[in-house]
Amino acid sequence: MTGILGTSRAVATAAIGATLVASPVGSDPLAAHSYNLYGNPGLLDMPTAEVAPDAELSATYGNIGNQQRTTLTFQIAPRLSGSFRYSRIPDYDFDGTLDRYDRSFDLRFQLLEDEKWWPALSIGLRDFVGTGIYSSEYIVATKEVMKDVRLTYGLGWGRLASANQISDGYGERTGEFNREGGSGRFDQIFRGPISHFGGVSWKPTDKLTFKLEYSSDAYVEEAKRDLFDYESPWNYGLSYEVFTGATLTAASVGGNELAVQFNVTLNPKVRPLGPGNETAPLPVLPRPDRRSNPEAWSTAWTGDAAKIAAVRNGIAEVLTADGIAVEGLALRATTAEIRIDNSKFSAQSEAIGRTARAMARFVPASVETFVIVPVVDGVPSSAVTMRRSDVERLENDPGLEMLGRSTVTAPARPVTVDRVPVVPGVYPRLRWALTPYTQISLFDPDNPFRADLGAQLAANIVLGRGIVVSGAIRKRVIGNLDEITRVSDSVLPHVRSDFPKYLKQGDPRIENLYTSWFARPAPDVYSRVTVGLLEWMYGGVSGELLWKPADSRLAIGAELNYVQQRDYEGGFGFLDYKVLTGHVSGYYEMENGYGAQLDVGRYLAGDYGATISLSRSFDNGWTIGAFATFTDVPAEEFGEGSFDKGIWFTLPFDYLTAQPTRKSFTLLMRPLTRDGGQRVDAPGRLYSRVRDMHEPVLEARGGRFWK
Amino acid sequence: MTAVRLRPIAPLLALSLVAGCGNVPGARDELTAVSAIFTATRASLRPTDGPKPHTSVITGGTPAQVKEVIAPLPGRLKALIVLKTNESAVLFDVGGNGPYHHWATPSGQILTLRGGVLVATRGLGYDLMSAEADGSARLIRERRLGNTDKVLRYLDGEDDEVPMGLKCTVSNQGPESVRLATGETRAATKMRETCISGRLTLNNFYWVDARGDVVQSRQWGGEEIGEVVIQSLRD
Repeated sequence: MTGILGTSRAVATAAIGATLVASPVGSDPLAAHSYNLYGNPGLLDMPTAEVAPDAELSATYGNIGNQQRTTLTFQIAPRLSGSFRYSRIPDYDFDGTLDRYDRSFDLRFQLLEDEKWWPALSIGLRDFVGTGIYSSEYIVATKEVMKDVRLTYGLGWGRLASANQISDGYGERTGEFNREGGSGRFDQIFRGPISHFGGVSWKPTDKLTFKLEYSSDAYVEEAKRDLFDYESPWNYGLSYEVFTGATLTAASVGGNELAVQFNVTLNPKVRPLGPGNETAPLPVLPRPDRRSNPEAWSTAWTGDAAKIAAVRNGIAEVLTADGIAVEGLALRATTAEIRIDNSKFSAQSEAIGRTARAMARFVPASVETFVIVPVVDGVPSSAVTMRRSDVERLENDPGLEMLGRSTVTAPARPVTVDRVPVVPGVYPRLRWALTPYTQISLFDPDNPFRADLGAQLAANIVLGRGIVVSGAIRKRVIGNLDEITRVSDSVLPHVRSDFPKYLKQGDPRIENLYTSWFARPAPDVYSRVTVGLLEWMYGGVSGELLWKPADSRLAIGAELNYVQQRDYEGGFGFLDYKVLTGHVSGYYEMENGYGAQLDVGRYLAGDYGATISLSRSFDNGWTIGAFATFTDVPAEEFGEGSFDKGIWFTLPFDYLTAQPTRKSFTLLMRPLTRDGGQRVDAPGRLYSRVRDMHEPVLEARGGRFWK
Repeated sequence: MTAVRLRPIAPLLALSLVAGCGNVPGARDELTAVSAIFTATRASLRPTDGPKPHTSVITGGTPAQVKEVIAPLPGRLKALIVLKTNESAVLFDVGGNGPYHHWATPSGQILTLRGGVLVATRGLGYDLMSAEADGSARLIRERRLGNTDKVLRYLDGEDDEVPMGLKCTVSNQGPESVRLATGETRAATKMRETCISGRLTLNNFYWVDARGDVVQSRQWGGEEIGEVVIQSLRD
């Protein structure tokens, strides 16, 4: 009866209702009919003023003539989207002897929604930090003139002003692009000649969209190199939805060239297989009535070790089946404090809800206060205090009601925490796993996609509260990462750019092997000391402090590392390079999921600077973010790309499977890996360890308390 | 577990695509993830008519067979049939809390009833998280005509409980006896609860005996759960 496919119409109806209430009557953001060849909401080659539904992620592959564009687009906010594109134009450089590989970033913003007497209006910057091949800007209006028919008219600059020019515009626009890329070209935006473009889309059925456009892109540079046969500004084509979330487009571009496009979309807000197929929790067993059964409420059991052990074993038996380990239980006449290690549910609120129910079943009736303390590696990060009578009374009410009546605080001080005796036999605790791994290298012009698939043996031993030994070994089974022939030309110490040597010589390799000590020196302060092989390229000592109150959206941390570069063989050998590196970090997360992180300090190459990261986190565990690092390394010394930057995605596994698990995977993509602005990848960083135990996340996922 | 969680490095984009063995809970989740993606993709590519409807003693057996099956089972029992999948199960009494009563299947699903009205499910995936149905429950128990509001709550993709408000009318359809799977016949009054939410109209039916207990019901649990039939097997 589980795993029923499809989205909930009940929920969808409610969501649509909310949208209608939120926007003024008659106004419509114009959800895109489909994506264009650049992976933006649009017609064929031209953009429109449409937007994708909030939070939609899309991947688009477009082939136009002989050039390919692969684009990832994220609807960052209802009106703002960002794209990252990797494209290839064969035989473009050096008189047609070399292929051009190009990376570009876009930003689009919808200024106005479609209203009765006014079209939707959007503004876009295409390729605004890249090498300039696609560099263009546009202002575009789209209006739904009748049901399923949309008209678009816009003005373009840069590449979008290479045909049908209507004005010389303002200022100069140099045709030259910056070979190094990455330095921005903000002085050129909306400069130079202006052209107009337009088009129409018609969506007669749910599956089909017809498109016709008058394009302002004449493919001048491509035509000059005989790579594109340009004859006409008229492009036409059609899009077909193969299945929900996947669209195929075929078009004629420039009169003589064929274009095909494939687009897939995914919305992190919508779980494809539903909210989770975990089995039911054991329901609350209310206490007997005190007046009719006063003996049940006696406190004669206090201090009876056998009775306490029986209660603990009862709770542990129920919770073990739910993947929750009971690490300690202190039972007093009116208060019970329990420590749990949740290794199964991605929402701590769900683990806490199940623990509360198990306690209500086994704890003697006189106990009215439950304190549930989730721990990681034996270290508590918060204490959730609730009244047992609320647990009994609110079992059939919304989870937020229950959490609203609970308090989330920092766990009691380390001294008093010792009141909670460790369950005998909990430590040392070994967890191990033999699993496959993949490692991928993107954007190498010799081969833009390379990957290894291999086996990893990982083990983690918790010796006692907060003391952990951890390690992993990797062996490649198949792959071609050892074929990377690029030799680093970096003038900085080769802190990262020698990665091909590591890939070639380090198989098998010790991925990491270290011991860590986690503690809480003060109620809102967490600490970590790690010694050993921290990551595949560095070993040494790493220390970190984090201040984060349990109800706070702000955290401040500091990290200091003294590391030495490991040799390429993947064993215990080291190279000569040693460096002291460290950062002061600030973290802030808003209620709507947008977060910012600022790290200021010294990087691996000895350069000083700061990293700014912006992200959007969804309550279900999805995170999509981008970062950029600016250090005192000048752009020409840094090399291609000018500064370090990238984007990342964290995808929780239970989103895909609807089976409970705390696992997630993270993809981090850098257009290039150079040596400036690089950090050591210290394992067990504190912020992510405490974040989901604290009030903001517990409340955001409060709907799962009773799941 | 930190050792398993990959922090990707370099231009190398690392998927912690780990499946395999180990004592880490969820060590095999990745395999499940991969197969789930394939299943979902296949399902969306060519919707098949799914597995053959599964029949069991409850839906397909004779009264004698049903009696034989439930004879060794303890306590109060009900039968559950999920009409969408034609799956059935015996429901065991797993206790109550005030006006709410919990009924569990042997495979770890729970249905919570308030006076015979379904107010929560667990373990069904797209669970009904909670409901406000005291108005309906009272009218049905008292076999009275009346209008009442009902709220059903479901989890959305961001773990928020989204309420679905319904306007319901309860009406008396007259006496109609119920033949149980065990062969017994029970005198009952058939009550209809018609609920409207936006463009959605639902009809739930409850067969109520002289004591006001619901002997059998056919009710809507949610868009994905569809309709369920709940029938008493042993009171």
